Amino acid sequence: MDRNRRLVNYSLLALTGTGVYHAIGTMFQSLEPPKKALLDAATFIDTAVLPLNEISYLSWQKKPLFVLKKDASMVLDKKRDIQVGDYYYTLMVGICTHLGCVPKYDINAKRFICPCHNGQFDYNGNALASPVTKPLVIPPFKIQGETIIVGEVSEAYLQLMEAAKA
Amino acid sequence: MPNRKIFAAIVLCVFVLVMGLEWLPKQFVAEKSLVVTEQTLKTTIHEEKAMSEKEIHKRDTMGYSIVGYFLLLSVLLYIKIHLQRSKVNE
Amino acid sequence: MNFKIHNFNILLYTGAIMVVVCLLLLVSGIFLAMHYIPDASKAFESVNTTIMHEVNYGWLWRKIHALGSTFFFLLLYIHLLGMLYFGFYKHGKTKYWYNGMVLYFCCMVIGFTGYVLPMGQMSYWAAQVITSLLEYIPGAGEDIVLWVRGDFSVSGITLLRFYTLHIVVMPLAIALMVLVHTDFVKWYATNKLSWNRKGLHIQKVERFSKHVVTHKEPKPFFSNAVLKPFLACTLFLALFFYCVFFHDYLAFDALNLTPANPSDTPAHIYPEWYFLWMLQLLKSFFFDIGMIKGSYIGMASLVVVNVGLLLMPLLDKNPRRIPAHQRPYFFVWFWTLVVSLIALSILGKLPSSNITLWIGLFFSTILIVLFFILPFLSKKESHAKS
Repeated sequence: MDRNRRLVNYSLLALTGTGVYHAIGTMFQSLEPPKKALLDAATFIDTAVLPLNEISYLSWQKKPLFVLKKDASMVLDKKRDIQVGDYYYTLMVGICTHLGCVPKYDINAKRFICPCHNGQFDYNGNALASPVTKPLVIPPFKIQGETIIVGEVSEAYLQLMEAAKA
Repeated sequence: MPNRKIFAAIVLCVFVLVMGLEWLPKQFVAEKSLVVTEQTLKTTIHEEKAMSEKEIHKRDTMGYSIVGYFLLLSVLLYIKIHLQRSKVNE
Repeated sequence: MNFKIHNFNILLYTGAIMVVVCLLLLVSGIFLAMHYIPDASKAFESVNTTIMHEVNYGWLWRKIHALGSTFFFLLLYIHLLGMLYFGFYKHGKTKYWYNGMVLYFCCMVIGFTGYVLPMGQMSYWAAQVITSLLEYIPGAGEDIVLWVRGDFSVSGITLLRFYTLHIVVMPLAIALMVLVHTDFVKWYATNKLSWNRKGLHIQKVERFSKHVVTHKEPKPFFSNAVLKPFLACTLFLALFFYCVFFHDYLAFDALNLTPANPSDTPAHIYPEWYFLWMLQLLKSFFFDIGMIKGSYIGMASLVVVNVGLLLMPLLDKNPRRIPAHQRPYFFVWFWTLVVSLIALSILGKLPSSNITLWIGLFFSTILIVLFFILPFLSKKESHAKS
């Protein structure tokens, strides 16, 4: 094949390649969550209105979020507590670390019992009975005055993660 | 050259159609109800306000590059057809 | 050096370009369907807020889809009239014509159902008016209307079934019809599926030769026959995207930017441009002839024209498949048809006035008469020529 034809063929190939690349890129960008879904990326918790020594049920990124506001009368867990003002808070993503069901809180037993395979967590989210071994996941959080923003990473969150590994 | 004549006839018909459907109704709308004009005006302004200058500029750039891309592709294909034709005729 | 390309005529490539446009419509339609909500109260917002402003490139997909349908119908009319001009509905090609007319009706359905989906004022009232037309079918008219709408008036139920028609039923029907129309099925069956001792995918020259065939100089992978449609497609796509980015008003009617209001009929309703000539046909007969009401004549004329187009092979009595410029009577007939269609389309969009009514009546009568005189005209022509 002579030089001209080869040049034209390669240019066409290159152009077609860039065209396909940009088209597919555009399609993937359209697949990203639209604005109304991105609104779910962070949940704002006003700690002043939460009931004391009780589990509150909220949601973060369409997943259940268990928040426990406690004072010294309940067991404190240095590896999992967040202190805001006078009270301590434990944030837990309400998804069982075994196979993903949503645990239910038993007020009398003061523990989470998962209806699927009877896994149990204490009210701080630590695993108690098998089949669960890992504690409930703590979501990324950031403390801003009286508000906890769930979904944003902060120093406090990173420190808790380090402590959990140790 | 019937090809050119056919193409010219088609372009003429499409031009008449587009003129008749876009430009001609606008000549009558001024006399007609103000509601339609108001709605048309309101909605175009709303659209422009919703998008910032930057976004319009970005879309225009995208438009020019895509049109330029296809024109470039056409030129290359035209050259390719010519080069191949001479080759086959040899 | 010869800069011309042999036989580079748009009429030869309308088909290929239409396939490209269909692919564009399909892909943009997929991304639209990911965010569209087919509920009467949520549809408008899902289109005009979510897709147009919140989804990345949502506005691009919607504009491609809307302009794609406009250009598709433009190409379809050019293709239809081109085939009419060159007599490509006569012996040997009648099955393509009938198949093509079925495709034409399927495309009209898909275009109409698609336009209803955004549930703007124009969408809703177009649906309401056109489904009401079916009432006039003699006999079961009212039942048919209920059956099409699924409700006493165009509502969420109608929207859902139009949506199903638009994204499932019609695309499948059109895809299958296109495969038949382009002879793809026949080609594959006769060229790719034949088996003999030499095996599959053998060159025709080698398959039927009794001797060993010496290999010649390899031909280019993309023959000119393939490259010319590609060139036509890229030129078309340049024009298409130019319109998408800089002239998108061609496919968006301002009135459709207000949400549908079932109790407020706009002063001036009209469908998308490719239906305007039909609308004008219906509106044209504004007086009654004796016992028959004007509106009935209008509807009958619409049926006449569509059936006339469908039965062109039977109406054109001249058996020779020659272009119209070699048939003086048919030439005049053809251009009268084109002028009438264009005139009716333009009139369909203009607000009604005395002049437009009479001009509309004039062109509508011509259109109907055209189909009635064609048999006689073509017979006279075939006898006149030697």
